[in-house]
Formats: sequence, structure tokens, C-alpha cells
Amino acid sequence: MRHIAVFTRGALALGLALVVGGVATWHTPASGQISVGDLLRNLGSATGGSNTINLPIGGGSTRPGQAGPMELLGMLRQSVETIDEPREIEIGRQLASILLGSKPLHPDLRLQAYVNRLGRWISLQSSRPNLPWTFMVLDDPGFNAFAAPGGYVFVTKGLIDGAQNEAELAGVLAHEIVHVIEKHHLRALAKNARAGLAGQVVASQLRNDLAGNVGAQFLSLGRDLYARGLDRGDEYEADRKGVALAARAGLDPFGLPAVLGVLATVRPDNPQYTLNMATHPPATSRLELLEKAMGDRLNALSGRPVVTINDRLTR
Amino acid sequence: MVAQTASTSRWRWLAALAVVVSSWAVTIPVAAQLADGAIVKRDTNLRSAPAENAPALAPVKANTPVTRLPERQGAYVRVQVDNMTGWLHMFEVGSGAGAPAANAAASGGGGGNVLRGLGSFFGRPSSTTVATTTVGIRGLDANDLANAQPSLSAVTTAEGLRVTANDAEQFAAGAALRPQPVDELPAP
Repeated sequence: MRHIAVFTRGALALGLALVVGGVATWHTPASGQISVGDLLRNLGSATGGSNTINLPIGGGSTRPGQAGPMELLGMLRQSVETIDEPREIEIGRQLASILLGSKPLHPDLRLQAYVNRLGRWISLQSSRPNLPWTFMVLDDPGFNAFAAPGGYVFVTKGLIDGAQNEAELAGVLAHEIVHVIEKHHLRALAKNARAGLAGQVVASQLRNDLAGNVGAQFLSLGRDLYARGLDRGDEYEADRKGVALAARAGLDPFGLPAVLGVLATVRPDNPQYTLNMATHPPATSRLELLEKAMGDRLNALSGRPVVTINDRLTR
Repeated sequence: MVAQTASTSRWRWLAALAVVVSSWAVTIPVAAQLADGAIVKRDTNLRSAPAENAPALAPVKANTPVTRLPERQGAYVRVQVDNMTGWLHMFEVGSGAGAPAANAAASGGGGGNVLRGLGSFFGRPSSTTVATTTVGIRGLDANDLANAQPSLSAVTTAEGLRVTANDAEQFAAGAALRPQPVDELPAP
């Protein structure tokens, strides 16, 4: 119960963060600049059991739990760039809690440690080496990988088992790391928040339960995002940049293409791959594009001695 | 006379059966090859080992049907083509539309025990039948996501399992992983 309350507060904070986006640059006529900090402070003081919040919105007047639709819509057009890193990490944390609510952490701590070491090493070669990168193996036999803003990266046990060597796992981790670097999930959430929330605001009166609405809305945005996947352009970009990133970390660049080669032969009704296939463009397209991008550029970095995941775990 | 005829015809029947059975044994893998749907994309050489400088076993022409085997190494995949087994660069193999599952990746799925995936770790062929590897393994799906009770405590646990940049560098040093200068690949 306590965790749910904490989550609601967190989701609420996040929902508002998404809703207000660039409030830091937004001015009200009467009261001047309002920062997201102001909003969060209000949030903190108002959640001692009450489900209303005092938002200093609109001409400096304070009306509990209500904000004019036009102000909200204006805020939502702010860009993702105005979401600062701490907020980005908190958003990711909340999304991660959905995934970990779907499947638990795998109990093999040696495996978790290995994936963290390999993943952290790859992240060190990226343009955001100092994010609080957190790698997790989900106790799930399906073949899949996920990422959340702020540096949360997941692979399933099914993917670990299906990777024939370290380079294949590294390719997948690098792909997910690129999703974080390029803020693909943040942008998708913001885009969907604009679409969904705008509709909600226009369609109904805001009740005093704005806090609850925003929290629940954020949750469902997150679930929906993982169930439907990112735009295919994001996936192709993560493939292309992921291959280069894995190579930068000293791994065989053909790890991710090898995984795609397997995905390209999976039967459509194979339940181990259902979500992966539903949330990504066809593997054959991904491979075609990767092949065009790679050419023989990275061949010199291939052909190293093969190391299996089991080699690492039993060393 | 009757006995001799019966004995001869029985042996003839057995011989005919043997011929039929052995021809099945030959045609089934061939049928599987054709059903796989993968083809060689361009004129190339089947290699004896997964390396660019490995000796060629035989030339293979474009559009030849090929069966991917489960083993993969670097940029190469083990294949069966023209009744030979060898290695091709993965970019030389094209998946045909509707290719049935090779299921190489499914060989170790399920369970919480790392050791169960050993077969695929060492690159040995997974079970040769397609059907058995898929039944019963259902991964995380949209329903699980819809019904998930978010768990921040699990996130906290996961955060506690993080490693430092220093840990990662030590791991890399021990694993002989060195940073390489690599340009971004060109966008389409």
C-alpha cells in the first residue's frame, strides 16, 4: 500500500512534469515566472492525504485542483529538451516500475552483475557516460529488451539464453542504450501526452481529482508505449547507432545483425517473440538497412575470438 | 516352388521398402531446405570456417536455396546448401518471405537456470525439430503490461545492483575489450 501511495505521488509529479514541460520558461501575466520547482513544492505540501493541489496558474489566482485547458495545452507544446536530467531519470524510474511490475528481476545475481558490467562498459563509450545506468535481467522466458529514460535498460532471460555469444548481447544492449541517448521514449511519451491529454482536457471538466487523473494517465501512457513500441525510424536509428556503439566498446559489430538474422526467421506465431515482433519493424527490413549502412566498413573489427555468456559466468 | 516364390517376393518387398524409406530420408531434409525459404543473395563461396580468409569449400550461385543452421560466429552463419555444410557471411543469406522458424534462438528459453541454455552457448545445434521449441514458452506480452502492478521497490533493488564506471573498466580490462574509434554509420 505504501508503495502504491509513493508511486501515485511520483506518477503525479511526473505526469505534471510531462504536462507542464517547459513551465520554467512560461510566464503568467500577474505573478511572473513560474518554475517546475514551484509546482513540485506545491505538490509536496498538498499530498498529505489530500488529493487536490494548489497550482498557481492563470493570472496569479490559485484554484484548488484546476487549471484552464488553454494553459495546459500551451505547456504541452514545450519541447522535450526542457525536461531536465533529474526529471528524465524520475520518468524512467516510473516506467521501469511498470516493467518490473510485469516480470520480476531474475534471481541470478551473477548474471545481473555481468549484464551490468557489460552494459555499463558500453554506456561509457556513449555520449552520456555519466547517467545512472542501470541494467536489469527480467525473469521472463520471452525474447525481448526494453529501455526507459534516464538509463534503465532491460533484457529478458529468454534473450540471454538465445544470445550465442557476448557480442550478440552487447549488440542488443547498445541498441537499447541508443534509445536512451536519443531520448526516443521521452519524445514518444511527450507526443502521446500531447495527443491524449489534449483530448481529455477538451472532452471533460477537470475535477478536483486532477492529481489522480494525471497520475493514471501517465501510467497508461507508459504501458501503452511498451505494448505498441516506438516509431520504426527510432528503431532503425537505434540499430545503426547501436552497431557503431558496440564496436566502439570493442565488441564484434555483427552481434546485433546476428540477432536480427535470427529474428528474421522466427515464425509469426511463436509466442516467445510475440511482443518483440509486435513492437518492432520486420527484422528483414532492419537487416537490409543495417547492411546498407554497414557495408564492409566494420569488417576489420569482426572475427575476434568468440566469448559466450556462459564463459563469463563460470570464469 | 511356392515357398521359393514367397521368399523371393518377400525380399523384393523388403528391398522396395528399403528404397522407399531411404528416398524419404533423402527427400525430407531437401524438402525442409526448400521450405526454409532462405536463399543465397549473390554468387559467393561456401567457406570451411567462419572467417574471411577461410578456405572455400565450393562456389555457390545466387538464389540457391539455403538452410540456416543454429550456429553463428561473428559475421558468419553455418548453413546447409547444395547438400554441403559450411559457413556464409550473414549478409550473403537472405530470408525468403514466410520462412518457418529456425528457432536457433529459442533453444534455451525458459526457466531460471542459466545452465539450461548451454546448448546454444556452445553453438551446438538446437533440437532439430521445429515444433518442440515453441510450445509453452510465452513471454511478457501486452496483457502483462496492462495488468502490471508497478513496483518501485523492485526498481530500488535493481539500482542497488548497479556497477560503477570503475567496475566496468576493470571488467573490460579483464575481458580484453578496448575502446575503438568508430564513426557513426551513415543514415539512409
